[in-house]
Amino acid sequence: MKKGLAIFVLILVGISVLGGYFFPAALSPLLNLLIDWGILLLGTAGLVGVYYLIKQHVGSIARHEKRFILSIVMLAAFSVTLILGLISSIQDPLFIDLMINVQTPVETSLLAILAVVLMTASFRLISTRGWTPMSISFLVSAVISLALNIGVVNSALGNEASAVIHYLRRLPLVGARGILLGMALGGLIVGMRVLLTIDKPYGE
Amino acid sequence: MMTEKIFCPECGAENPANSTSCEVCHTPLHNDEPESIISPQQPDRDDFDLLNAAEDDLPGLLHALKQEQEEDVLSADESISGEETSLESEDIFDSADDQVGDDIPDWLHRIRQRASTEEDSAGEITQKISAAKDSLAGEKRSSQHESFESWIQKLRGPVGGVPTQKPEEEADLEDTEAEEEVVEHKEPDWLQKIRHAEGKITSSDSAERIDDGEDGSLNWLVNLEKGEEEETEDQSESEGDGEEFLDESTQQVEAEGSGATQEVLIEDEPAFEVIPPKLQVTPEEKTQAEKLSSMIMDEAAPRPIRKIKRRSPLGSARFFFALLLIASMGISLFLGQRGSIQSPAIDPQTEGFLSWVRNLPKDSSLLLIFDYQPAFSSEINLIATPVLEMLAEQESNISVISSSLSGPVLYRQLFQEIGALEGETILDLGYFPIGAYGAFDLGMGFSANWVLTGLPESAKNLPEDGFDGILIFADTYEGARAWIEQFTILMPDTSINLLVTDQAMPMLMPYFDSGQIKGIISGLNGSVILETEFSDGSQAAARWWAYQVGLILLMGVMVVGAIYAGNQHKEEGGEQ
Repeated sequence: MKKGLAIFVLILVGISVLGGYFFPAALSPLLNLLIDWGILLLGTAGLVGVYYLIKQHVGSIARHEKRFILSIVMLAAFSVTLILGLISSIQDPLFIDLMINVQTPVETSLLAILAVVLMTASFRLISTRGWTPMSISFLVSAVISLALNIGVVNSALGNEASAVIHYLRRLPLVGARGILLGMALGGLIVGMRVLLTIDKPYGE
Repeated sequence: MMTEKIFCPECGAENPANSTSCEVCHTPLHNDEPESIISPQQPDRDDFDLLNAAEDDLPGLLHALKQEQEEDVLSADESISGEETSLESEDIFDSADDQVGDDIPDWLHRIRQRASTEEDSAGEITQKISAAKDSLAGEKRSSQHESFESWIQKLRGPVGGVPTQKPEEEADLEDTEAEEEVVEHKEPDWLQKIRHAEGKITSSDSAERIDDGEDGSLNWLVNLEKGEEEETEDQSESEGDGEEFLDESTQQVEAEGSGATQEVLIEDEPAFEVIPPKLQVTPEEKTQAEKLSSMIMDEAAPRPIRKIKRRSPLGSARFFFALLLIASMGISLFLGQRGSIQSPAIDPQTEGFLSWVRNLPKDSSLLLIFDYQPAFSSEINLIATPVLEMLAEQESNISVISSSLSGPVLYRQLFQEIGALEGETILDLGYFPIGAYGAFDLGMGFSANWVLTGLPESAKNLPEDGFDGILIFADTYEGARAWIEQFTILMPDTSINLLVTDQAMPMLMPYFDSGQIKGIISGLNGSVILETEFSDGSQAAARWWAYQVGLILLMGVMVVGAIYAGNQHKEEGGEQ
């Protein structure tokens, strides 16, 4: 009974949203209502996620697990952010500075580490496989991409060389198009399978 | 035929006349004289005659019992046949006790009373006789049918054998059993086994056996316990060993009523099919067992002593190289660009963006979508600042929406830095947890031609004529893609432009090629172009030189590192 109701709701909402692209004027108020409900559900799910996060870290501290100090730091940061957000508002310059000046350096550092890790991974690839056509082409393409981004090469060379550079810059688009087409077809198939109740993710 | 035997004084076993020790208990027989007994190999002699011949040899108690038996026989009805009183002596004892109970003397009555109350009042031989009587009575009551059933049950197999014996064969066995009822002078099977064990009488001439007198009765009574023990051992062996049980070609069957046994020939084909128990192992169990065995073997396997890794000689070189990188980047950042910078080449997507910005009408209505993380805020801010300053000059009506958690904070920080877009000129449409939801909601909001009554109205009114253009600030292509695909369908007349990071640009280029978006501007290259075109700022120019130095250093690191890694692979003996 429950499964049948879920299937009915799924098909009804799915067909309504799909029909909204063809008849937007007729279905838009209904679809706006459905979207609002979905956003409310997502917000509730976020609150549940926050609850379980706090519960997990409180449990870790209570059990004196390994690295429970990190849980203490996390809960302290969460409490400070929550209290400041409730006292002031998101438009307060102090709150904005506090958020940005903490979050931005942390994320930027992670990105810098990611760049170094990717570079060492390429070295490991070469040290493991040796000089193979794949590793050589990987290294050459990486160096050319970096050189093209410098910007000096474009200005220094003439028109004929600029055509070659333009071709090289557009070469990655071949792969990008393939990836986007694959994603579109995959999304279409997944949507059709859910609408035809072949896949039932709501029952799992 | 008379033969001389020596009876053991200890166990009563018969021994040849020339024996010096008992064959059973090995008691010395030097002082014992041989006694004449009637040979059992005389089938034509009458049982009672044999008993009379050995009468003088009976012990006292058995003699008294014998006398009572004779008296009972004489006083009994003449119609009672001798068959009923010949072999089943224990029956005679019982019937005699019942019939002459009133005529016994007082001393015998007292002895019997005492014997009934005191267990140790009876002699050893009397106790054995009583035990034999109980045993025979028990066998008569229960074992006649049960033993046959148990034998059939054995034939069905102790470990799951499938009975293949046909009902006709069972009927034949029942007929055989019925025939055995009329067989006379048969002895109980336990007695027959005793005789088998003693080696005196073979089973083939069991029909011709006769009782060898009262001395023989005494002998089997004395050996009764031993015979029972052997019988028990035989039974346990036959039950415990199924193969031995199957190999036997004959089986003893006890006839009903007579208590005698008959050897029934079992056919060569076994009466039941024995299914040997199979050890069934599933593939999963087999895999687990193999893993366990390999783990055990691996634990016991010898391992080389782990060598302590020495510090690589390139450690100091790496440190020096990292220091050089950091110093170069720092110096280039602090020094900045000296003099005018040369603008990079303008790509078609950049040209499309610039032309769209230049052609924006005054008081235009624009939607700004923020979908990037704080880590990319410096890169996005460099691109966005010239554009937002120009929009402020044109007094554009700006609506803001965000689909990243940090979006509201980030665009407020950006607007604060510019200082031009504040207050009433900005309409905050909020945060949508999923970009596609926000795009769908916005697109549908402009398409509605009727309203659901009873719903709360939105406090933020969208522009009635829609937006003149949409600017998407994104750090990844996934975020921008959701907005582009939704707006392309729901708001096809609205121009879409992108301000994205360098990493997101290649994947978004197909949307520009297909005409879904008007233009893209990305990264530090785009910010330098925008500064050159729309403002006289120097933020992008100050970072441009450091950016170029950093890229050149990175290229050098990649080349050197790749050469070193290739040589390392070669030294380790890797295949080329």
